[in-house]
Amino acid sequence: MLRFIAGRLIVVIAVAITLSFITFFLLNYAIDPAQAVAGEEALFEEIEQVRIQYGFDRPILERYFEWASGVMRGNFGESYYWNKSVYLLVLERAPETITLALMSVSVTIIIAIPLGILAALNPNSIIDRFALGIAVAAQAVPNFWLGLLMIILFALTFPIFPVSGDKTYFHFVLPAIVLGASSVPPVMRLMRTGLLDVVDSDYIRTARSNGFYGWNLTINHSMRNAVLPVVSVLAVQLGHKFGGSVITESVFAINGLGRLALESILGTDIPTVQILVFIFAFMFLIFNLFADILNAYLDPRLRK
Amino acid sequence: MNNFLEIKNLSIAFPGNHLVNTLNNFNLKLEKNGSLGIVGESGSGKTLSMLALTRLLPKQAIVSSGSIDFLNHNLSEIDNLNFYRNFSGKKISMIFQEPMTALNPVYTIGRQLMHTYMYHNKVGKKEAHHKSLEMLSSVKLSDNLERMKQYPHQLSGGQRQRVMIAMALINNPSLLIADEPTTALDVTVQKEIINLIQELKEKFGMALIFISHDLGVVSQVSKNIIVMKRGDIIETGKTYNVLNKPKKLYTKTLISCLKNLNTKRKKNQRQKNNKIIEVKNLSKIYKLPSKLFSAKKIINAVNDINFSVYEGETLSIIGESGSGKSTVAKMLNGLLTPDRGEILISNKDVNKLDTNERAEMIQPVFQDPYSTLNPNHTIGYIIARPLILNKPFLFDELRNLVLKTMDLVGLDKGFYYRFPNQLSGGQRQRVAIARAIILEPKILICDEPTSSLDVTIQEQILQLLKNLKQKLGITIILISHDISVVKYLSERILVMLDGEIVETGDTISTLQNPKKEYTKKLMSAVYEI
Amino acid sequence: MIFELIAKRLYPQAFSNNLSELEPKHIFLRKSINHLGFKFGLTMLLIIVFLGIFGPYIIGISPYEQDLTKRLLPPIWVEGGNWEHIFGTDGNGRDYLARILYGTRISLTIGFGAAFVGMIIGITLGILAGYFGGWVDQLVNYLLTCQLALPGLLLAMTVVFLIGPSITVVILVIGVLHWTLFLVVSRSATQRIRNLDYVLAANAIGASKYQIIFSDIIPNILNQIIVIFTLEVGIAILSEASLSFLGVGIQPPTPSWGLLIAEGREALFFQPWLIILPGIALFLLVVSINMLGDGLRDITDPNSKIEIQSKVEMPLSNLKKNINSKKN
Repeated sequence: MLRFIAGRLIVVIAVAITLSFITFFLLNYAIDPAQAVAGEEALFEEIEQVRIQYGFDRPILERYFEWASGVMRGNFGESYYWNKSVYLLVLERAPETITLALMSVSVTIIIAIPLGILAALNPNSIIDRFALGIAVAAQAVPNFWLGLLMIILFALTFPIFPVSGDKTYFHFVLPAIVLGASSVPPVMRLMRTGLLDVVDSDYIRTARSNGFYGWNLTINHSMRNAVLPVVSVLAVQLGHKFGGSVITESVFAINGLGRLALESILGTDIPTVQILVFIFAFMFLIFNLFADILNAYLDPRLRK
Repeated sequence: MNNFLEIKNLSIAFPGNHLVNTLNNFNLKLEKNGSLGIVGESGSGKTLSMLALTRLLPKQAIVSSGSIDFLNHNLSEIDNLNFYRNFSGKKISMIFQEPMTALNPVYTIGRQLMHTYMYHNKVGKKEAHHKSLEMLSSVKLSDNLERMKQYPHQLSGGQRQRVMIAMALINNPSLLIADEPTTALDVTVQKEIINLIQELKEKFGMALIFISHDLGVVSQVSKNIIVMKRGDIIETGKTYNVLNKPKKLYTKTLISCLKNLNTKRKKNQRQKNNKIIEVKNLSKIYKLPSKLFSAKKIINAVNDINFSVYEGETLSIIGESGSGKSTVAKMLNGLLTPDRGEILISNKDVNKLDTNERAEMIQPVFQDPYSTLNPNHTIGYIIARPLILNKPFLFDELRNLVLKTMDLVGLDKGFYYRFPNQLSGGQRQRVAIARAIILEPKILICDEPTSSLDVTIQEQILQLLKNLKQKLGITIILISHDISVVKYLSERILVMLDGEIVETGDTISTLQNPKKEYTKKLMSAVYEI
Repeated sequence: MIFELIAKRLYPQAFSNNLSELEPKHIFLRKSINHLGFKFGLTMLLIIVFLGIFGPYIIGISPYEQDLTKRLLPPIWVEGGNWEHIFGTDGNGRDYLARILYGTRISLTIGFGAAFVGMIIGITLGILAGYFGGWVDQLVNYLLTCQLALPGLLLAMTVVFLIGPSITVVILVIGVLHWTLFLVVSRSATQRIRNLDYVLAANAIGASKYQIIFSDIIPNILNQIIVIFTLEVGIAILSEASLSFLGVGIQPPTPSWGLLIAEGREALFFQPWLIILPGIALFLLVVSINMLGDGLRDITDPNSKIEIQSKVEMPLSNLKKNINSKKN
């Protein structure tokens, strides 16, 4: 088990390094960083001065290693656009995004898992069709549009939840629903097909031949097998919530990392964008690592 | 109502365009402690009848008529809840064909056994644990305490089937239904499991219903027998009477197919011809993909073997799964490269031949008729493809050659523009043979060519291979685990175990007087009628 | 139904009751005319494509023509609307129907274009990894892990914005970021088929690697690829809309639906149709493509039955209710 975790951890670290490398190069070649700092209307001489002052004239590899060693020590660099340490920026904005991500995954779990189980236990029934209808609709509805519709609906017709800002947990309810809705289709479908496969399997036939039926059969004999693939996909979805927060946060005016990312892109603030891409990717990898460990715990065939 | 089990006029249908009974007027009588065998090919309804009894029918199935009396209860008056609580697993138990998938992979053996016991008996964990251990020892599994903590994937097929039996018998049922319990197992293990079932039947005093496609096994196990075909009962009666005085044509064919396969050919006209294949010091090693930090696992699939094949003969390679026989077949075909040693065909190294030359020399026929043909190609194209690839300038000749070959393997011209999904298993296997012989190769390698087919079809395909050999003078290498197939077709055999050749020699004399322990074990596992 | 009539006219032999006589394409036909979701999706998609191509000519109004005296006119069903501008006008007095119809072309172009780019990358890598295995597979697997970990939307936003947004750039960037599903599916399908007997047989009769890949493998994974393709088209359309909504995709005055919604945001409470109408267009397009894809998956599933309609039927009534509730 320890060996298994260690192996996974090495892959995570290798991927993280590769990704930081790729984003650093991509962002430093897609745009001239000196010009980005100096501004749109800067003269040639001004840009060159910035280039030397900020060290952009040095080779890119040297700058990458400087940046990477900085990141490892918790020094994320300086934001040109916000005139602030990126580390502080991220620290300031992170709680909002974490709250949003966790709440939206909870929304997904609360809707998708029971619906998937009920659909699988009653295939082709009304509830199954209803669940699939929800999946098709949720898959096709644009996230930002759903958010705007919610705002119209809850601001005017049912003023239960606040529609803008991030002061209390109530402010996060609508954004969490919007962000969580996009994960409902994959999680629900997987729960449904997973459980359907299990119900059709030989070992469930064995259990039924021994007299097990109903909820006893579902909970004691089927659930653990059916939930295995769902664990992985939930981890993937939780990872995507960070990247996906960009849209939701901008629609509901939440001051989190997503909005920070959008504003930094519009202000061509490369150090901030760079670190955010890296953080989101790293979060994704960590969640997947946890899912792998959990899966290995639940499925003895993966341990060894 | 004084019978132990009586099924009357049971009919089952599946919804479709037109309602056809998949099981038609099924009748059965069984007394206490009795034994009954149900024999039939796939699709005969033999399993379906028992699934109706245990209420495990697929959801779409409709029971259109019939009544079941069991232990003085009319089962149709008992609701599902009552049935699950008081009959399933408690009075009636069932074991299935696939031990690999019939146990839940994520729970320990112990948990699965204990749950089954505790569910029907109001006992604590301690007692259930004790009972489980006891059951494991009565199915003759060693290291019981250790086994309880193990997961199904850590056991072999035979061990899993033993666990299945232990689980089925843990509540002391009065009826055990065994649905092809040994089909998925190795020949030598088969015998042990069948003996175990018979022994436990006496020990626990249960009735036994044994379902199988293999007449030989059923006749060994049961006193009464039901022969089924396409949902109908063809013949029923005492096993001895049915086997020796079959009344219906189908039963006669079934028995004669088996007997044909088992006839002992007396003479073995054996002319010493030229060596066509020479295998020298052949070895193949499989390396399992290395996990991080652990050493690569190495398996000696084939370990330093030597043999030769003579022109025009049929050589059989027999062995159980994992013996390396299929690996040898693939290397002969050039589909795998050996790690050491060489294979000479007409004095040329197989791996140094170019693909076209090799294709005209040696061709394979595989086991599974459902994956042997590309579903997107027509039959005509499938048979013509070797010619297209190897002799590109045939033009009009091509079609004639294909039709001629189709005729040779007994395929109607009408199949030319058909697709594989429109053909039956036996027809597909004929297509595969046509594809293999159209280049007129010298050697045909048949890897279990009939083991996925029903008995009657099996005989037809073997007959075809025999005829082709006579007509074309082709050399055949037959890979099989089935002794009767081997006996039917081949002059010489080669017994393999764990990648090595155990015994080799003339088919008849080797099988009649096996010299090695392993060959003896193989032979004793064959049931003859 | 009209589908059944056309199918019966074209392929009468597909309607034989002897199922074992049906050719593969006839089985496809038989299953598809019994699949409600597939038929609904296909019809709706065809209508939308038709409107996208010919709609702008039919109404004959330019989507760019401004008339500041006619700003923010309401659509016909709201009080004050008139037939001259059926969907009303936007903040610059441009006809909204013309802009939405024109936006169809942008969504379709980007959706199909980006999915095509992703497909080429994904199946090339997938077939290589699945067929050759070994270190090729491990390398591709590493690439896959990297790609999955990258925050797609954020990266797309950054790259599109920095390079300078245009339709081509958006297609390429979205395409390059959406190949993972193609890879996973084509790799596992190739791995499965590579070990089937007919590939071994092709090997034995002297077919080369490339003949095997193009004649035995690709035709047999095509069904699954088409299913993924339709789903990816839907995803790509939504991605483009998101980028444009955030202001880092298609730039004004080009009428991308995402951009229309972003522009309508200023008048969220007073002229809600400005965001509701393009949103419905987007929703209908993606729903029809997804239903087509789901339908294809059921139809090409070898385990699905011909007679029984289909395993998962689309609940049409639910959908309609859904759409209606969003209009109000």
